[in-house]
Amino acid sequence: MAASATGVARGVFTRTSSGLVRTVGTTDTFFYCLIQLAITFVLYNIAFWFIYPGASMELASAFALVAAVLEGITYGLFGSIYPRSGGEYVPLSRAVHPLVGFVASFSQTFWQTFVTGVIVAGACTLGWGPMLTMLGLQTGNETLTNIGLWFDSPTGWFVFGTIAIVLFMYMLYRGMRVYFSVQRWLFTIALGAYVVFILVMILGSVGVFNFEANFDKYAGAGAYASLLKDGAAATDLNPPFSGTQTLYYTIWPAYLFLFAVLSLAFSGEIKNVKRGQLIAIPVAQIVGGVLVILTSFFARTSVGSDTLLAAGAVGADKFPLHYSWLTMLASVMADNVLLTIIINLSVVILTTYVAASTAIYATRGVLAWGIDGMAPAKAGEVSDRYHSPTYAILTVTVLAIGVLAIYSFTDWFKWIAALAPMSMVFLFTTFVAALFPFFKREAYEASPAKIEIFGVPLMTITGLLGSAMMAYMVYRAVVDENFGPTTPITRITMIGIFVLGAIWYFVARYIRQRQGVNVAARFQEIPIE
Amino acid sequence: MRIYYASDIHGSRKCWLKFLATPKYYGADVIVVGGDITGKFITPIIRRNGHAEATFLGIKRKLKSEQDIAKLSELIANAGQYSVEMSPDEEQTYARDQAQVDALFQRVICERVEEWGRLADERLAGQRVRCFVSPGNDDSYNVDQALAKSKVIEVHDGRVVDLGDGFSMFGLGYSNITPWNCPRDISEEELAAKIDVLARQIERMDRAIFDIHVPPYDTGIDSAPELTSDMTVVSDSLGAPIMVAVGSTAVREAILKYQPMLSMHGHIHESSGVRKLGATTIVNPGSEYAEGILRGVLIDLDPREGLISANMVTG
Repeated sequence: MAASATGVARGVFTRTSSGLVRTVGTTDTFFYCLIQLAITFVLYNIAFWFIYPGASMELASAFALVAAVLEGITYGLFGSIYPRSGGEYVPLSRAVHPLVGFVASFSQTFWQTFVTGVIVAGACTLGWGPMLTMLGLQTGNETLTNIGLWFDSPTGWFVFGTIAIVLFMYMLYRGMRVYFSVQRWLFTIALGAYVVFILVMILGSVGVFNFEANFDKYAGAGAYASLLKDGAAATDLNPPFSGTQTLYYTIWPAYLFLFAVLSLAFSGEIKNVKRGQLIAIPVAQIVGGVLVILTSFFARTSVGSDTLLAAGAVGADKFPLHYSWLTMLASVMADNVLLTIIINLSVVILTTYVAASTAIYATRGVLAWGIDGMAPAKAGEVSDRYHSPTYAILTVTVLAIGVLAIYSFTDWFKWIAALAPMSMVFLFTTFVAALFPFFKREAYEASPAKIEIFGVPLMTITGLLGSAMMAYMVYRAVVDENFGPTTPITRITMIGIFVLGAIWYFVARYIRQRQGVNVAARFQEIPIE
Repeated sequence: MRIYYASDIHGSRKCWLKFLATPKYYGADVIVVGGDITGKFITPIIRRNGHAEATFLGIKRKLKSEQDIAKLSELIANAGQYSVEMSPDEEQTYARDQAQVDALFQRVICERVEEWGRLADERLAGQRVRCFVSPGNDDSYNVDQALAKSKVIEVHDGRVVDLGDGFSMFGLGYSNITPWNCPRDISEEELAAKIDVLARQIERMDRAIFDIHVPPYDTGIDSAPELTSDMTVVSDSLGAPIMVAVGSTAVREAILKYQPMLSMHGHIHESSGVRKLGATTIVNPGSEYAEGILRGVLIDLDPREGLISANMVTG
């Protein structure tokens, strides 16, 4: 069999043998990464921009993007060393210690489950609510407006979120391939719709749409002037550029870009020679980053920086429309029913898919624990009929709905509370990867990650630079009272999950030891005499 | 009795050395490799103008000294590949002629298997351990002769062996037909007939171990990525491969028919697990040979109770 026929690198001869397959395409991995980016959450970034007077959204996004791309390259290289290892679990177990690997996996799986529960609520807040209320205004149908408001209420979040979670998990259980191919098309269409959203803002920037006039049309005569007046009373609507505030603001875009690394290798035994991950992760980050920067830029040029700042600063009570999200403002500006549907539906679909993909990550984590003896064996069982991890899916479904209920009906958590602990794992993994070539020399030498610049491993350069920038962002995420885990319960939970993961590890080890199984030996490398 | 079972180490020298260390490390009385012991890649080290070059794992490496060459050769061997030094002209000749490449494979494969036999003789000497190795569907038939040269390795392919304490085991390295038409790919009918011949020789199925390279169909330890006709992995919209059952229906039927105590399998690297098929515990340790990681299953047996436990280990 010719080498090139199976995607094997040049300079290698092969024979007729099984397993010589092409790895999953870079395009497929790119899609996975792009879904993980949650670009629609840029709406939160823009809404909370007013908190950082003088910050440049575009510069902050570019800075965050550099950090994320450094992280992405490092993950891509690290993933190529252990290509069959899902998530951070096995690489960290092998590179550092099984305890560290498990705690990282435990924390990520918990928070992914948490995020699954609350992101579906985000689809109501960012998408369904604005779309239906705006359609109600545009068509004069009050029922639509009321349905939109119901969607964006605790009951609406819980009902829609539960239905979305159960439906998605059922499809995951059934392993419905048709669904997956539909999902690919829907995601592509949603991305196209998002581009239309940006085009609407470009048309607004060049004067084709008149935001002021349409705002007054729906909010009442003089409403726009009142908004600016109230906004000016609440904050400086023309603050001078501030480098410090720009740096503070970087955490908002950073937490969109950092998550592309959740794609870890799906490669076959031809050891990631094409380095699909290495290409797909940074390219997805750059594409997502460009979309976020464009959204921020054209948001300012179409509806105006002063409008955005005023809309945020006056608060929901004084804002004359139901929402101040950019999607709502863009829908007002375009004043077209079809464009309202396109703009907001793109947000609904893209946001829901983030929840779906985080759920898959969480179920894979639970499945891996079951197989490795770190959770009851049931967690590792796969349905005979559909070949899907039944109990892992069930566990994540129950937990995600539980989290959704807590999120919907209590004030215990802000969803962004999850981002600090998750990024701590990204930071730690990036840092470990930076040092990996020095403490696991042979594994590094014998891997496709062995790329050096002036004799220094590339993953060390990108890992150290990336982890330095990420360390700053993690620090800001923890101390920024508008962003991070600043309430006692979120702080306790953040630390508690790491501690609980460690306790879980030792308890599982003890139980397995009593059953005659040395869990530690399951990961320890056999010494060669 | 403790059995350590691994499979699909595909020429990885590091995995073989780890395998030979398992009797001491895990306290195993019997160690078994269930097939596919030979590698799939030759990495030419091309000598030119006082230095050498090689492309290993997609990275072109310039080798300035004999020490560099030796170091890279070791990395190549640990990853399950074969390094062969040659001139640029020879490399071109091989690149044009697959028949010559195949002949070269046979030479280097036999050399390595014989070397492994010598290593086993050295390292297991004086230990109270039995070492069984069966070829798999990827292994050509001359591997059997190379294995036979070892003093301690017992080839159990195609025969029933008595493990003591009432336990018996047979090996079968064949597989159902794969997309690659490997040396020991045979039809389901032939596979069923070969299993029948061996199973009928076993007296107590509640103390029997089947070591069949290919796993039973649709059991969760036979899931492999779906492939297109040009061997491209089919993926879902999230970029993950779509997994399909590729095991043997003949093996499945045989296990359900004979209900042995334990059935050990390999073949599908990405589908490890310990499961049940009827009353039989079925295992597949999976494989990460290319990273030099030895995956295995530790099996504890008791003469009175039969199978006590089967646990996956990674070393």
